[in-house]
Amino acid sequence: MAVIALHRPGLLPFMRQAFSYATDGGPLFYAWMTLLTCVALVGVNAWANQVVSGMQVTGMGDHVSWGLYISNFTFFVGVAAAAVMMVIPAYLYHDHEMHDAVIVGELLAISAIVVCLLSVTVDLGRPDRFWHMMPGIGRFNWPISLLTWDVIVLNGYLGLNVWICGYLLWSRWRGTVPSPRLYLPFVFLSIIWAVSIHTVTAFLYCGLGGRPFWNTALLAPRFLASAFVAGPALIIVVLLVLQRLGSYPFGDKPVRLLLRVVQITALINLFMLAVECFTALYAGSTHAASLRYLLFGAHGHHALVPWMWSAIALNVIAAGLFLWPGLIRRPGLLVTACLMTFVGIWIEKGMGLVIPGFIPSTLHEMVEYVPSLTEWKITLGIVAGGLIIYTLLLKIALPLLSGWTPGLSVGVEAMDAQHRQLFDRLNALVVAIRSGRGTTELDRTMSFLDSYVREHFADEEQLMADAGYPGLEGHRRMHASFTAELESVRAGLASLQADRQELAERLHLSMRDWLLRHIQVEDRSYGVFLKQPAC
Amino acid sequence: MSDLTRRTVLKAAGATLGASAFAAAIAPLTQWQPAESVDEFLRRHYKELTAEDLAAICRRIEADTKVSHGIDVHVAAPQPMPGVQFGYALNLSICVGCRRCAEACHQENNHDRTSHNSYIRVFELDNGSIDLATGDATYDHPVPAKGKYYMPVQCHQCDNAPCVKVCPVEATWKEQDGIVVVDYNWCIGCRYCEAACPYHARRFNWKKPEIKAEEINPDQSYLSNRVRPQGVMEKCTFCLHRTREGRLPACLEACPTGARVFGDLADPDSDIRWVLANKRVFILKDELGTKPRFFYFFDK
Ligand code: SF4
Ligand code: SF4
Repeated sequence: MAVIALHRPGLLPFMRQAFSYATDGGPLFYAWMTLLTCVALVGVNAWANQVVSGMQVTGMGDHVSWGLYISNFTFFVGVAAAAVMMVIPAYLYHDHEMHDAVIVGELLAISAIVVCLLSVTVDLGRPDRFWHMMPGIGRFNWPISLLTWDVIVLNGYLGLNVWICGYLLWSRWRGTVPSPRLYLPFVFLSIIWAVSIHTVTAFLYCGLGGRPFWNTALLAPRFLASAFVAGPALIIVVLLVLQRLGSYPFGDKPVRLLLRVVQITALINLFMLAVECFTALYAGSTHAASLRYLLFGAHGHHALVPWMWSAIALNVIAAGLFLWPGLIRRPGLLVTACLMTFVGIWIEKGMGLVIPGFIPSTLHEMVEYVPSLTEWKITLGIVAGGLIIYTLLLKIALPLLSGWTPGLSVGVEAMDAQHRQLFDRLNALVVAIRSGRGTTELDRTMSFLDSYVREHFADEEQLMADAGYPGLEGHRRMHASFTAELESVRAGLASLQADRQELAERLHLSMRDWLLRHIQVEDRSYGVFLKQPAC
Repeated sequence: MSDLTRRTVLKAAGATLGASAFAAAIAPLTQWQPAESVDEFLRRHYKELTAEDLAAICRRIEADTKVSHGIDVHVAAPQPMPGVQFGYALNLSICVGCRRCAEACHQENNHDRTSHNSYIRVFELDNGSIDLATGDATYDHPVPAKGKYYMPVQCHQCDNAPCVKVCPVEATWKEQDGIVVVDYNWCIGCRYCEAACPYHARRFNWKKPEIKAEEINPDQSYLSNRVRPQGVMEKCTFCLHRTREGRLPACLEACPTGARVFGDLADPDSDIRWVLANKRVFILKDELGTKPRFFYFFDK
């Protein structure tokens, strides 16, 4: 007798499916992508002109020799690092609900690293000589130059996240249970690695003895603290937007958890800023020159003062809002607070940390910096590019995580079709509950699901009985427990209007996972049985 | 037409549109000539070149300059003299702040004319303070002004050079005779060294340097004053094309007061050794541990 195995879909169909997930969408999706593409192309064009005319088209000069590009780079390293704030609870504390949602963070890390790499590339005076940095063919000044460390850690972090996300999605697509050996070590490595990317980036600056403003041991901790505000804040916004769009199949817990993170990190970040200010300003040494310039202006130069005070105001207000317990029930306000702190930290890291390191110059000259239009175009273009990547990655990952995939096929056409519908219905129900739509519609969806499940289970059991499947009894019991669970959710829906949120959570978690595991293991085994030729 | 094919057609149209828009966006790059030749693009790092390679490259630069500017220049590649350790000292008691050194540097080193670049910045300081924060490098009045003294600053050729440490591609390094150089054909233009230098000694080519053919100094070398490409770093080299051949730096020759003393630190009988032994010498930002080869001293 031949070895029987159900067909596992291969790489090519996976790519095809990913492509169609990534490129199919409604008018909103196409409008969004068109907008981003336009911004990105304006950036590409500005960069091409910069390459030809030289860096004179920027606002930089020999006094302030790094500007918007490196500021933006530094900020997005932090955003990338912040994915750990989801990875740690998901994997270290085995928080089941974070397990799927964590991919939203990991994909953000991938996109943010791309933004970082592009930001450094556009800052190069000679991008054509990029190969001089490649180990082997160029001369890679490792381990002496911190910049080479940064190249290693950033690319390493990119690789780690691509591997983890790719492997998990691929397994989901194939309907196999991911082998922990193949991803868990990488997950733990990525946690340490995330801290390292931002630490090394801080070392780029604080290792320079000639720049007292940067030359402080507090720089790396400050970088991390601010990253752990801006990153989670952005992820909260992304989760809420996805929820609103109805393409978010996960519970509310990630948002609540991330909010708890930023409540604390926002305060730590402000605390560190205060410590920095006190240490420098109280002693009143010349080392405080940059900080004084930044906060109050100096010798008639004030370019950064409005930026810095806006940053402080944004961060303080956001930190206050985060502490207000009612915020979680006001998604609009929550998004506003997150965006405020996101912008606040962006300013704090660029205009507040990178630029003032150059002002006054090492010979104490006051030369100010204002980014040129070219720099803004290129920077916005890069961010748009990052958003394009992030959007496409989410479009591929979310349906793969929440829906039926060919990997779940049990080999029986009719059953597959029913399973597929079951997933769709369940997701629709979760969305309906969460968005607080009318009770009538909910009830309709609910009763549809209810009767559908019964029918499907009956069909399935009939199929097994006809084939004389030995596992029928066990299978029947599982079906019964699922039906009971659904029944209790229904009862809950009828009685408690207030706790819909929790019901949605419960539905999504217990039932979808039940379904997934059930189909993945139990149903496939009858699929295999059915395929056996009668002896 | 079925929904599926319509979608495919739309997607294909979108992709084509996107691709052609992209092509249009990067079109300016076609006007870019970063390197004169493939050869130049693929040129190895300075330290990997043989003497013959180097000689051939110098000849090529001469030929290229003939084509681009219509003039004859001589590009050499002088090597460090064995046992020589260059050092420079500057007498703050007699410097009058005339900026002739800065001007001489501007001409000697074929600097960009439009930005009036120079490797030397001269600071005017108040008597009684060596705090650069009170200094001014943009003074514009007859010198020496009352109550002021002057401090020219240029590359200190640090023995523990932060600029060399940070370079990701080893495009800048310290030569045997103590001079820190840049390979203009290897630098990727990241400007990390410029951020690292505590003495504001590095200059970046924010654009292609502009200099009239008749103003070009024809006496050039590969590692110093040849006309630089766009987008790379440059710095003072103690005029190595002169000093490695036994001449003095251009800034020293231009100084009307004799404030500048240049020589071989390894030679106990040199002027510079005499200054270090007999004058009140100080090192700018000594506390940073950069170990400069540039010293300031006072007569009285
Ligand atoms: S002065 Fe600046 S450029 Fe010169 S060797 Fe020292 S760090 Fe390098
Ligand atoms: S600008 Fe050039 S010399 Fe300076 S660190 Fe970057 S690659 Fe090295």
